[in-house]
Amino acid sequence: MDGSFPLGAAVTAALITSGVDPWISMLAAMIAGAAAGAVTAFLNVRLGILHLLASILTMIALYSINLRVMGAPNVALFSEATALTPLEALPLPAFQSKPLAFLVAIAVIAIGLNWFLRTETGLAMRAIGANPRMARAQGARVGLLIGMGMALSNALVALGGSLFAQSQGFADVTLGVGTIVVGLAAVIVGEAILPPKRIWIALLACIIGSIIYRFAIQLALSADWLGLEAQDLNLATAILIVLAMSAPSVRAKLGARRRGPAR
Amino acid sequence: MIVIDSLEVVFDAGGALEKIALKGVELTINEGEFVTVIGGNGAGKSTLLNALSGEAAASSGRVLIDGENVTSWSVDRRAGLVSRIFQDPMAGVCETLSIAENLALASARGRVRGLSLALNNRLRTEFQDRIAPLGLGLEDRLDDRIGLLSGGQRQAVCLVMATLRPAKILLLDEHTAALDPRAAAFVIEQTKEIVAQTGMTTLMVTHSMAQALDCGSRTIMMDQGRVALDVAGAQRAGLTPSGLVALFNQSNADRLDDDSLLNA
Amino acid sequence: MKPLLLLSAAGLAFAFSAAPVMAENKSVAITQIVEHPALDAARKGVQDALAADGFTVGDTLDWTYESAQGNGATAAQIANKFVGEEPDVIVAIATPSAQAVVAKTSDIPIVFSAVTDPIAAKLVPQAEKPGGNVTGVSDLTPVGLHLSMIDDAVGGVEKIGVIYNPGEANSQVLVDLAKSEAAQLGYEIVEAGAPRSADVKAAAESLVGKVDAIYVPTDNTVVSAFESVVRVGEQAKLPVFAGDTDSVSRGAIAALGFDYYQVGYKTGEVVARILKGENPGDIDVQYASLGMMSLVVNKEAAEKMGVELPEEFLAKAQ
Repeated sequence: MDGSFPLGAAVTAALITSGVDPWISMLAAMIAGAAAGAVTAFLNVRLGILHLLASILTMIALYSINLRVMGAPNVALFSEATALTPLEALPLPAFQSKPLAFLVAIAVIAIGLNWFLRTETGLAMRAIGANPRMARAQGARVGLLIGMGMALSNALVALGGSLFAQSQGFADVTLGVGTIVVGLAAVIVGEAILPPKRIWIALLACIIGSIIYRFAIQLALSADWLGLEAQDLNLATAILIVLAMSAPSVRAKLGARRRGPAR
Repeated sequence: MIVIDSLEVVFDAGGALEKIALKGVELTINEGEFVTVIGGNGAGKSTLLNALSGEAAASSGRVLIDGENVTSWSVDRRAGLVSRIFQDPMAGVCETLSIAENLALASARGRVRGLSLALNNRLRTEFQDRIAPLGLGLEDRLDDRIGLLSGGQRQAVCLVMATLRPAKILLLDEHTAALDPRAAAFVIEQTKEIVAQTGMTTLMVTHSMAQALDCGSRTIMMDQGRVALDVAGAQRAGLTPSGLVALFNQSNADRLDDDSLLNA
Repeated sequence: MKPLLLLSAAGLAFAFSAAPVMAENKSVAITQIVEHPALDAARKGVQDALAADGFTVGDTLDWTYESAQGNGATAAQIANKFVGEEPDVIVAIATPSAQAVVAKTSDIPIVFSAVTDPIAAKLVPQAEKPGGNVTGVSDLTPVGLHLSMIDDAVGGVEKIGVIYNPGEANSQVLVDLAKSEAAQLGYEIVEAGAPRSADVKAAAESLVGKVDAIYVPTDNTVVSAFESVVRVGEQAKLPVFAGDTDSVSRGAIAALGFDYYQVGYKTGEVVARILKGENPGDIDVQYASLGMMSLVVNKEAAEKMGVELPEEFLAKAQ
């Protein structure tokens, strides 16, 4: 993920600056992300490299590839027409129209994923995540489905990078630093707050989790009055997320105590 | 018909821990037969089952299912022909998925999975009809996470999953060993009933000699990677565990200097 | 329930951070991509320059500082926050932080610092009178200053040899820059290509007898084999200079490096001019000047290469 996010940004920036249609650039970014995911899966499944190491290898390789793609560590998009440019025609200020556009994009992707993960293929993919031995015994083609899953998820990460580059006006090789941590934290926080009993709830939990993560950073940024300084940002963010996550379990304990020692 | 032809399985071949788990097993299982397999630890009974499912690769010999040589087929490729239940109630299900989703996974076993929704009303009705005879009331809890069920309930659901779609052979891998006696008895009853109903060819590995003789129509005993004893029909009818041991001693009189494996 | 709580907490925090500012105090918000000694020194320089102009942090100046701690998305979020707070000037240290802020506002004055190529980064359309709300200080390698330094050290220099890997895009840019600067300053550049580290020695030897001094720009291939250049220089009594100060301890006679405190100080002076009412669009983007550089000298290397460094040159070194 730390590689696919800037990869999406890099491909989009490189193509848009060389005059390619922004929508095609976005598609290309997703294909590039999917390829990166497929390579990781190949390293893991076919060459038997431990999954964590496989993704680290892809990540460091992508750093060089991203530099190649952009031809420089940083490419600016300020004056280029992007997929977001048509928003300027709307009678809304940018700080309203952009989030609105992203909301629509997220809704479309979430609805798509909600459908896909409930199909036979999607269900088999989820089963592989939960219990690969059982999934294989049920005839799921584990290697193929891991590849597809990795390709799909990295395509989405690359799309995120592509949208980031277009909305922020630049792509930079260092963009991906910590993306995996943010993603993991968002998923875990979301699931702690909204236990995922259904696919759409799990998807909603991810979205809410990532928003809460950003809120935590915003709070940490704004918490100067607590005596926090710039270097405390990551610590403050971490603490806020711990608070958000422990809240449900603390609440459950309080509830249990009120009901008496049931367990 | 399942034919196992001079099958040999070697683990860590050429390595320091080389172990010959199966030493040329010959076994033919006829269509509709319910075979129970017994043997001590390391006798090769689990390896035999894994060789049929594809989890253990054959070093030499062949496995034929209905005349088709599947020896080199992977687990997922064999899934259309072979269904199995694991010993560990956690292993056979996806805990985080619902009962209905687990059944849906099983209902597509051995079939190419497409992009149609895995669950629909027709399937739900079918699942309810298949699961209701267990008498556990699970037909009304299809959307509960399967992780919420007890071990016995899960193994019962696994039975339904394994028999939901036809298979050339049903493999039961000590599927009651991890259960308490009551749940084990319940699952064995359900097993007999479902196997009788579907008429599936079945291979059941068990530790309990009583169970081996109580279920099925044929019992084989494994010892040191070979089939040591194979009883069926009149010879098996009315046989007690001690009778089985006597038979085993008789046929292996020269080899038996360690009967501890039978006490396992 | 929890999201609601968080929302209200966030609202509270916003209320605090947006607390009314003393009317007479100016405000500066500074965003930095990551903690790094050079960038931290630049920030200190900004602060000291402002203090020298009567804008003392905590007294006559409201100062907000945030670091994205290396994360691009956080840099964008900091930019959002700053734009919402509407300070008098936003200072952005390093390219990604600057781009994040420039993407967010075309009203609030922005002064960037330690940005190598502000035009390629599309922060400003041109260096002279950039127009708009953005100006700042660049840390583009001042190749011209490097060439003059060589002349100051050796004296009577006409031809300067440059060893570089033509495959490195950055080096190509530096060499092109060197050629155009040299033309203006009256020197001639002689190129020697070294596509691999193993070719560096031969490239250096090819310059012997043709040039008065060798200049090694910040080229990864050549710098990795810098010792071979030094050996050729010592044998042929051909003075070797470097584009980075680290190579001085490895045998270069001297190099000019950025003093990031001074880069920040220059940035702070620009900020002060804007706080006093100047329009950022009217202030030229500043490039490296001698005042922003520090000279590092290796006397021993000079002796080995047969160069007697003038007193006034040594006086400039730290």
